[in-house]
Amino acid sequence: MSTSDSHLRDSTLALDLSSESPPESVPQDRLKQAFDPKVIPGNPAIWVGIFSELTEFGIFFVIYFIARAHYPEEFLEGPLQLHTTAGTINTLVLITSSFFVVKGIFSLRDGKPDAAIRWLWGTVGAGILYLIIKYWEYEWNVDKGIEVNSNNFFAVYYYTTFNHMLHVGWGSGGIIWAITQIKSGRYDAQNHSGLIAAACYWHMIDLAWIMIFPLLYVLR
Amino acid sequence: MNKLSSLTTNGRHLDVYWLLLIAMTLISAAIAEKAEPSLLITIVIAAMIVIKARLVIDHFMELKSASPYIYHLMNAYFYLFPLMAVLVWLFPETLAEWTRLGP
Repeated sequence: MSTSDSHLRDSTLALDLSSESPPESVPQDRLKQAFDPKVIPGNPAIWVGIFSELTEFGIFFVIYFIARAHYPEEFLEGPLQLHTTAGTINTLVLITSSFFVVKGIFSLRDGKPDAAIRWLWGTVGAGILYLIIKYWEYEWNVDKGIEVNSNNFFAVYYYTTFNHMLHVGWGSGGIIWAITQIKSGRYDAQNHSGLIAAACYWHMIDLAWIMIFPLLYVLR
Repeated sequence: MNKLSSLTTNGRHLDVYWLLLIAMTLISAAIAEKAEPSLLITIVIAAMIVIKARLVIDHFMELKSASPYIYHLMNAYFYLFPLMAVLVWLFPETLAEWTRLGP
């Protein structure tokens, strides 16, 4: 069989797999081989967005490392002046919010849309709690005289955490949109790729904070 | 269906991963409050970033069963930056020298 024939056969298999029940004549291991590399959680567009956002955060992390190498004293003292408890609580809140999202997806797959909606409102609530704590933390910083131009560590801290805070805001919006789709019946146990897309975006926000928290609050 | 696969189908395995993530966060916070900076602490924190990221990527995002391009790229990101944290601890002067603007 020629290479082009082989490609044609693979695409035909991929198309067949989009139907509810795959043809029985195709062996299961062959199906897996043809299907697995094509599984994009949610949709391809959300992954363009996720990797774009991770690139943006990656630039912030590189700036952090360079600034840290140039101003070691500021990066040694800086984390000690931040409100570690606020950072820790926000980490716990975000991890829990990610947990709520995936529990919501499992509930929907299990044919329990009402439970899924409750889990997802938990995510939105956690997002709002995160924003409230972050706002309070910024107020606490300002009371202590910690501002964006205090030194290089705090400049990196404010630019990175404020950027992340914006992501939590519009990520919450994405989850609320997914809730409306479940309520209207457009998403059900079989069809909920938009929810998967919103969930992956939310997990990306959590992952970014999993990097940010140790870099800014813990490592010295 | 055995007990483990039953737990996985119901999503109960996620509860364990959530507790692990919470525990590692609390350990990080304790380190932030108590430990003096050192190479060992930097390595421990970097390792915890990798473990936490892998738990989220593999089990919360379910990327383990997704496109390997996405899966490996996501994993690479969360190995690269923790590794950079250790390298910057070890060679700060080198990085400062490489990134100095002007003479």
